[in-house]
Amino acid sequence: MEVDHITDTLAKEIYDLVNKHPGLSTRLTASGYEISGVFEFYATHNGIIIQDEYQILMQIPLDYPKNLPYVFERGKKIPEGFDHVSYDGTLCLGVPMEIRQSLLEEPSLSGFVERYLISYLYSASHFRKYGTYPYGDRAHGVDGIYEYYYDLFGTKDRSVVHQLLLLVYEDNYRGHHLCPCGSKLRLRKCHGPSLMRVVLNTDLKSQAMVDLAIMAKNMEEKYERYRKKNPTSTQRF
Amino acid sequence: MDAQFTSEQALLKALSNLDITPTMEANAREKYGAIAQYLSEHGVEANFYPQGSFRLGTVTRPFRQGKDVSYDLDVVCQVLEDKQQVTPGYVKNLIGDPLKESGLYADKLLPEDDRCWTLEYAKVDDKTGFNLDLVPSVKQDMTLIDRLVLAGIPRDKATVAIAITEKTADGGDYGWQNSNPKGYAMWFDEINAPFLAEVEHEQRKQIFEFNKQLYASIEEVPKILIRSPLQRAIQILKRHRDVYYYRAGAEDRKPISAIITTLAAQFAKGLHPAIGVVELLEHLTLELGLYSELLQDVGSRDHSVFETRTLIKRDEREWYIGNPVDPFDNYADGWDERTAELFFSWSRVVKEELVDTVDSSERMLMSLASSLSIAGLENALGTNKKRAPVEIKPIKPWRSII
Repeated sequence: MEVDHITDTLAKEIYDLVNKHPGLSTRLTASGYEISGVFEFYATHNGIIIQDEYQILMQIPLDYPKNLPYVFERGKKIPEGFDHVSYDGTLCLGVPMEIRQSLLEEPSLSGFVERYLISYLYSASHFRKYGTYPYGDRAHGVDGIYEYYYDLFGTKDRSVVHQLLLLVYEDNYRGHHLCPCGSKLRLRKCHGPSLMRVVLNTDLKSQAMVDLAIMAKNMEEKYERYRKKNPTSTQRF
Repeated sequence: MDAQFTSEQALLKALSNLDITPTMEANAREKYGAIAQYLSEHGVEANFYPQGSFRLGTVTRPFRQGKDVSYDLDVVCQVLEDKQQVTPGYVKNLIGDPLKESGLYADKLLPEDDRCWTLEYAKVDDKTGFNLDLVPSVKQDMTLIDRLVLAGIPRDKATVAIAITEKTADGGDYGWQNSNPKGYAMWFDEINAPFLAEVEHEQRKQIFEFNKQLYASIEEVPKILIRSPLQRAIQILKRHRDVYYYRAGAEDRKPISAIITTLAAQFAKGLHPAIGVVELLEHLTLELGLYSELLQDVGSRDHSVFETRTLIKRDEREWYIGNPVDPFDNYADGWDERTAELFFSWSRVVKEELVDTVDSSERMLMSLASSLSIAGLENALGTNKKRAPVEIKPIKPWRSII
């Protein structure tokens, strides 16, 4: 059965991970695997070498990488002012679409840990030492999601992001159509390639739809706020 | 012991990447000698002598905006004129004009600086060069010298005080600023002497061994090239400061080198002369830690510990770190809470990176490479590397708001 196959692969990856990091141990819970303990890393970026350790707890869903792990830090070592922990205590390793795109290259659990967890904890340690982010950070919430799509599509225009994501939603990708970004080029010569990646992968596609929904909800909230301030100007739709 | 070298050796290896070479040091002296000669031929009567790190033996490769840059070497041009008889603008241009007219110096001369004329000697050896800052000045007037003596500065140190020129506006207004590089050097040398004596013989031999093309005998090695643990600690601290403040995005709030040099020397006063650099760094960072407790209202206030600690003072919003040969000169002029906070955070990071790592010399070497930004240092000394650091694949942290 497929599920068993996935779980078996995951079990092996978890075994590899725990083997590689002697401070970590694992157990199976109702919602998936749990990995906890002291996570050490020794990493470098731009000549700044950081060696550090954190008490972590990771919850890994059985259908990983379809669903992504949740990571918590238990040693109260995330520095004050490092504002990238959500209200429920999960570490916000990055914009989900960015993580998913990059996971395509290295989908194993070790890949997840080596890339996102270390990148995040390295940022936290750098922040504790220098008070700055080594490679920047993203705005909170929907603004950070937009920032990622701006990088991905090479634009600064929200409506271009919306239109490109709507193409994904409508399942209506035609290479010879004009690109909605206004370049007057055919899609295949313009935003087509970066869009195709999303269209062709079901996990990326469903993530794109989640992001589009977050953007829509954000616009709706803006409308609600506007309506509260100007009660007579418009009607509720 | 997990390695074939000690933490002290790791530190020395790091310093060999930061210190000026005997060749370049000799070259710089030759250059300013030639300038003095040239100016004298053009009727300028002046004494030329090094000041700051060039005089104190604490020259360190500077690091600015993420890069190693040329060494800064300061030379005072003390014009033999009476301060009362000349204007600061006259003194500044007395040095500047002949340089501008010279075929040899005009193209090395950078745009006028507020206090000096800078000649740029890029690429003196194949790696780097230096900037020679010529600081026009005259002997200080007697009223101000007497004021220093009254304030408790010994007469021998007060009488060598000078007045330097400062350009106050682009229109060409100049004023006088008080300065006393010779008096400062005398003060520093007195503290440094016992530390220097302890290592002088051994180092002379070493420098001679490595530079036989420069010196005919051990005795010919100039004393200025000898580095006591105090001088070395200062070099390390200056470089660490440069790198730290760059990474903290706060280069405009760096403590000036005079603060580091003064506090290090004050703290080192009376320590055992055979102390090592690592031990000295520990002592200095512990002292700064106590000051941080005292001045930042953290920790318990044990008065017996604090009443003798008066080198850094804080009064309401004003911070004060005095020039040891001119109490009217406040090195911390312009500090605010943020500057002070950063200064003490920096000293904590020095301790974390260069003192707390001392138990493992390999870790110390890695820490030096990273915190002083010396490329490839972590592979020096033939470390039998057990593992290399993972190269980060950067992902920017985000935060969901749900």
